[in-house]
Amino acid sequence: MTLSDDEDENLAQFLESEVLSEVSESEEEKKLKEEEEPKQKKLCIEKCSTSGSGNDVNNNKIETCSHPRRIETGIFSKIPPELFPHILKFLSSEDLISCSLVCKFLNYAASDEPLWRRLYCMRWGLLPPSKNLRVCAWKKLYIQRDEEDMVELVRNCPTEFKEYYIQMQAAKRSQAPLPSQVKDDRVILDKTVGDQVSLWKSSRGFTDNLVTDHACSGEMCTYHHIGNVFVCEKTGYVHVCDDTCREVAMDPKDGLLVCKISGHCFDCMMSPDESEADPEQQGGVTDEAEPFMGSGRFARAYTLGYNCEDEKELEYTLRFC
Amino acid sequence: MAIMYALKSSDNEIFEVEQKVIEQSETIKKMIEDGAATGEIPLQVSSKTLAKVLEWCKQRQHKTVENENDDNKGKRKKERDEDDDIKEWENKFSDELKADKDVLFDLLLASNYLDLPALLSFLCQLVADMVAGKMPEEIRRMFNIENDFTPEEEKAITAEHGWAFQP
Repeated sequence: MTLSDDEDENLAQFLESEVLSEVSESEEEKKLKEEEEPKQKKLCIEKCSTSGSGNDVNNNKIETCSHPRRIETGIFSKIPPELFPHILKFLSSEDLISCSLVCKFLNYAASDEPLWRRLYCMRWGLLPPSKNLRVCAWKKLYIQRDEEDMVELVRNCPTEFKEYYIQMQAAKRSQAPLPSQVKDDRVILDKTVGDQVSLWKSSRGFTDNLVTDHACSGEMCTYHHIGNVFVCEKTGYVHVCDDTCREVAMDPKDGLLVCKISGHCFDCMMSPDESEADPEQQGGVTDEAEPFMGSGRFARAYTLGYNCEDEKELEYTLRFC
Repeated sequence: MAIMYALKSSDNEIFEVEQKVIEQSETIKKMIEDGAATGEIPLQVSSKTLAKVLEWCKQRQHKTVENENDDNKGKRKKERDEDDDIKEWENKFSDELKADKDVLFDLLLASNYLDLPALLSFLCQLVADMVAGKMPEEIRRMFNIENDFTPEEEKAITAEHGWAFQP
């Protein structure tokens, strides 16, 4: 009796460990995969290799692999590449896709992450918070979700009205951001932070109406600071400074891209796939980019004295830089 | 008496401008603050474009001065009238630019160079409006862009974005 009990026990333990190890293994595998993907993309971008380099299993190979620095022909060739996000941010998803098909550069510029993230959040709200990294670019998420919606709609609608339903659904794609949404980052906030921001704004007497006329810059405005959210104390303009920060400007001193508001540094604009990956996870691959992190003038200002009482104190702090 | 500054365009034309007007340009404002703006300020902008830039700056300046002089009473109504005026002016301004794309893009570059965020944003919107609702081929034609996709790439990319052009 005791023997068989023991045996049972052993078996149970064995099974348990089997199951456990399998779980942890699959988790590890998943993690590994997640780490690898950005790596591959990163490599891909760095090399700017020809498209279809095999190891990029991940769908949008044309976008990530061969992006020319600017448009070669026509009147757009005069425009510095960093201005394109500012033009394209006014466009709807449909128009962005039109742009994508024009030429390689525009395809690259019109696939910019912040643009699609905004459009996605405008239409469906935020993604539910999750520990996993997003599996693909915002643009692809948008297109997928749109497709799913359409399929769902067609399945559920009465056949005689099918065409109208489809037209109505398709019209959502031509919804361009409102002027207030173009400027303000409110739309990409999650609810808890959004509430905090609203609370702060109402305590300062701001309504949700935006002052669209005022151009906030890191030099002129002071910002209230909630996590990675920056609210202009003069206008209530909301800026979210994360991987899709839109306030980056080139620091002429060292050619770094730096957020005018927060002082965060970004190593490369318009390569969302790069900034998407956590620098820690990429290990050795980012050797080139890593030393730049946090070394720009504004970034130093940020670490040394962003929370200064006033401009004077900030200047004082900056004398070290 | 307002302080005047002399701006020199790339083709050596001189523009006399009030400090208040030209200070909207962050670039020039910095030059003034640094004391680098003595005598003529040379700019890498053609006289044709610079004239347009100044036209914009003066209009904006006009508007902010009026706003400052307003007391809060009746401001709403006045603001609305003013907004209409500005809209009208902006419409005229943008119609001229749309008609001449070279000027539009020169102005875009100038506003970037002179760091005039309001004008830059206005012009970007203008370009976006020109692009909106167009098919790829129309965009190419409008801005003289060469299609640099290979036939295979074009096919792949159309497939990827398929839904945009399906009924």
